[in-house]
Amino acid sequence: MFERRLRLLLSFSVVVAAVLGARLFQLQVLYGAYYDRLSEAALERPPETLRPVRGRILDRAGRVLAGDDPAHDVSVHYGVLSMDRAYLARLEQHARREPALRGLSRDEAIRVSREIVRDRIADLWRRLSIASGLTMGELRERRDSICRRIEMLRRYLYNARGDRGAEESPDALRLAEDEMFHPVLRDVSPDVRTRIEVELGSMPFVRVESAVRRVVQAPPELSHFIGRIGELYGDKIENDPFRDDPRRRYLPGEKVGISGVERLGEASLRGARGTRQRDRDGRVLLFEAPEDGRDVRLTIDCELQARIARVLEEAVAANPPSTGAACAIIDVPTREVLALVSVPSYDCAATVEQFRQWRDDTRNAPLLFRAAGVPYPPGSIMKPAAMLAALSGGVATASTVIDCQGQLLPGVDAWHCWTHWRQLPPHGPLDAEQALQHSCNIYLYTIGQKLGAARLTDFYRRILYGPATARHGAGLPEESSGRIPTDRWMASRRGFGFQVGDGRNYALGQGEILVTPLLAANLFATIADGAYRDPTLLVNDPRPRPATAIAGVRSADWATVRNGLYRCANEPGGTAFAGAHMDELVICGKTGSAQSVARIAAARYRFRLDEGGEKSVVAPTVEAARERLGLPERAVPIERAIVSRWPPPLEGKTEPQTHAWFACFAPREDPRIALALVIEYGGSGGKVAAPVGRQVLETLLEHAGGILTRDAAYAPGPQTPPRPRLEDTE
Amino acid sequence: MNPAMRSPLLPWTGWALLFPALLLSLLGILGIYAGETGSETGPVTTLRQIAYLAAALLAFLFVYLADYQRLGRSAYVIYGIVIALLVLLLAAKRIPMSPIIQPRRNAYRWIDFGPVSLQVSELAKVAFVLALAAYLRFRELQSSIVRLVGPLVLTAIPTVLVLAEPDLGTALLFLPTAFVMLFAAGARWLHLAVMAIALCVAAPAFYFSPFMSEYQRSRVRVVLRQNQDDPRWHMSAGFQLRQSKIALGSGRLLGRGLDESDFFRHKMLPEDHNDFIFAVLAHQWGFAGSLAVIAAYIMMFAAGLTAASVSQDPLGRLAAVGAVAIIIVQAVVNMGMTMGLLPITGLTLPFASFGGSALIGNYACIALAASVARRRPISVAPRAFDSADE
Repeated sequence: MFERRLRLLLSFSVVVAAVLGARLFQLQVLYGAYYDRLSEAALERPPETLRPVRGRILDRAGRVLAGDDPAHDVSVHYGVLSMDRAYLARLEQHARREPALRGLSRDEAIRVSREIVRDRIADLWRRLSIASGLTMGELRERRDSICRRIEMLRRYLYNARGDRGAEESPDALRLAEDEMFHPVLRDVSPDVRTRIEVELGSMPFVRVESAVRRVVQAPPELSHFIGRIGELYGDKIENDPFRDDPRRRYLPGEKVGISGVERLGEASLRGARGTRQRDRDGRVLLFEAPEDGRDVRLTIDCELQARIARVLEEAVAANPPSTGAACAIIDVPTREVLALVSVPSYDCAATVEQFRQWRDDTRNAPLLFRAAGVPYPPGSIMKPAAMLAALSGGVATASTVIDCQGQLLPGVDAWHCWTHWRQLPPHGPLDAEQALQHSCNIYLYTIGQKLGAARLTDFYRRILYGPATARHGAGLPEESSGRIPTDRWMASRRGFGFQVGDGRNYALGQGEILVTPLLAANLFATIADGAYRDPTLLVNDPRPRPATAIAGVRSADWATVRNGLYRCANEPGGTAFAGAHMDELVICGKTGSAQSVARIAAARYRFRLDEGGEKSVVAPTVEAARERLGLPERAVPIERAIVSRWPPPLEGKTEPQTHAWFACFAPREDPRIALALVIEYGGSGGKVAAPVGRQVLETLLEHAGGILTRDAAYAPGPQTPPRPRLEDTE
Repeated sequence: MNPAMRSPLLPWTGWALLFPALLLSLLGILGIYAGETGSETGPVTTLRQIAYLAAALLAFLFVYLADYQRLGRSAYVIYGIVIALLVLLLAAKRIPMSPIIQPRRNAYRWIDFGPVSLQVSELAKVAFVLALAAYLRFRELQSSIVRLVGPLVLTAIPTVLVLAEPDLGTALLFLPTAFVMLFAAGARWLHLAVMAIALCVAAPAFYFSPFMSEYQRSRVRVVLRQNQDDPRWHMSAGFQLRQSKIALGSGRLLGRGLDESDFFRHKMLPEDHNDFIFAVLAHQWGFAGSLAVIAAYIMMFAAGLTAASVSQDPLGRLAAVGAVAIIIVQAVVNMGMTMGLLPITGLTLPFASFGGSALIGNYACIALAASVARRRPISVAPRAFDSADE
């Protein structure tokens, strides 16, 4: 019996062995290839995204205005930022291996290690706060914003995937970012860097990493439009032009150009991302190099820009109560913007506190992008456009003579010529050219009235904006397209549409019409050229910018207007003659003195509070009002009562000083440049703006005279330094 | 005892026990080394295992030469000493006995003697086999089921003490081994069946009893949920089994060989040198190698049973059966958990896994069986337990 039982035992063991063998056959032979793949995958790390180096912004001469420089960031592991349980457990496990915790019971060790990890993380934030000077609240805000960004990215990638994969919810999707260090302090000084390395070197979840920072070296004259980079959220991501390119499309949290030239040149500047996947030994399994962004070259020459800014600053100082001025200069054949100056300006690198002060300085308003972002009533510089509309619209010819008697109508509401206000004799009979030369209001009232506001504004739109379908302008996000009213807009604004008087006003560039200096300069370029074309700020702008003729305007009409402008600046009696006539350059110009509206200097803002009740405060801006009341950014005032305006009205009038305009193109034959400038609240165009225009032109001749003679020396770009070498930022 | 009756050095049955053990130890050392290649501290664990193997071979020689009969005479004394040591370990939970007894991973299993330490439960296995064999050698088991109470008490004492350390894996070895020994000793089928049914009924009760921690219950769930496609599960509770199956499956038919140890070098399989050494071997030597490992245990088992059948001594017969039974039960449970057939318990693979006490205990076990084989039959009297089966 014993041996039989032993045989039974042996047989039974063979059966068990067969079961084990069958299972091994299943795992190793049938599913061998599957597990083989899994074992390879287990040794791979998630693919890393390689960021391209963003292109630089250069000026016309090749000077670097903005570029990426090497920097150092203090970064913290995402597990600590998000207080991820699994990562903290790893840290706790690590802590339990420390000698001090040996010999404790399991429960005790778990409790103590949890406390140790919690203390270390608290210590981390405390030390970061001390080293950086930021408050704990500010650091917490940074941490939360990183977490929001990653969670948004996780959702975005989860939803972007065609197949839902194995993960049931976005939360289960693992990202390489989960195991990455994210910058909490950016661009730290060497002192802070050393301090962090010494104090926090033993903490595995914080490290100092090499990074890049965007350094703007542009002089303050370019501050208004050099632009910033920042993160995009929400619908801006949806509008991504590179949506379909996985290497270029926006990822939440990515730094992209959000304003100014950074945004304008985004397509060239951003480059394309690369990918690198390594295994756990660091061997590269997959490598796709990032494609660095291309440099973008501005058509603007910094030095010319700076010199013109000096001229404008002097003009502003000499003409109180003026506080600002702006000037745009355009190369007529190419429509390259050679200068786009706003004064006063500011320093991009200033502190937040400084920016707050500038924002609330409603008198000087240095943050205003006057050259292209602020629309002004154009006044008489619109007269050539009105004249073109009349000539092409058949309501006048070059030889149409109108007799100026100083007023259009008898009576109180007389519609006077400007001579009336200056106690000068009326112009008498004038033809079209003479009307422009003398800037006669009566002539323009007459043709504006005949043409009517609807036809006039339609013509203005065509000559200012080009073909209706095209996106006009240089393409800066800050750019304003001014205002050319429509009948419907007027009706919605005041209850009734265009009236006879509107046509008269619009012919003088008054009423609801607003243009920016950039639009005005391009208008004069169009008059010089005989065709509309979009201006550009970029050398080799990729946008199509065809020259389009203005329908209905005959060459004789152009000639009449150009002659009128020539006579205005070169014949005695012309409004620009005294101020802008030059011997070395034959210019065709026009002055303007536009009735202005004073800016709001302070207002009482009234808010309804969330917790009930209302609060109000007098402040220069709504942002300042919110800050003073401690309200969140989303708070919208329910009422704004204007307390004070600036500048004050002139004696005996309700309006302040007029805006002084000067616009021209030159030379008369084969025009090369068009210019428009405005001295805010500067007074008379002829007396104030025209001499400044001449100074600007002299500066231009002195600095960049080559451009007028098509000299190759002003071709862009001699001395561009090589890009700085950036450390590998993995 | 007539010395002439002894075989010259080691009979072929002895070699059939020792050879597979040495093969498994060799494979084990190579497997342990795989997890240490390129390590900064050098192959410390591998070298320690080699030293333990030397000690284990000395233990083999000692037990083999000491002779099972002499040991059998002091079987209860040895059993008593081991039980006392187990009680001492449990006492350390209440009364601090550092530096001699300190918990590792919150379990009281080791007694430290300076640089070396002893895992008492490994010695308990040999002592238990010897004691049960000594108890059963002249007993009559067939008349009543009550006769099985004695052996079960002998089994229950180390089981409960080891369970309390806690060391569930080792504790669960005693009962199946006792079952095999009772079966060999001629217990009635009916009685054994009643015992088995009672166990089957008790198992679910035990599963839900407070003796099982939630942690242990989760290990049963790991086996049940291993094929479900849930990455979160595979990254948390199911991680160990998942990685084990990946290591094992990716060995495929012929294995990856010794050079490709990336998987273990990067610590992708926790406990690779210890409880999961079989996955390492299967990864390195493939399906062919895994079958060879199983074959080695079968060979050892067969050799042990042969020694038992050749021996005329009731103590020798039961000691040989028990010694190989406890090894093969442990091997089956370990391999079963590695490939996802059984819940993961902290059991090592005999002869292959890292561990000095385990190596010494296991080699002592086969030395016991080998020393039984060393004695030729001494009489023509009817062989013990050779009554007709019912």
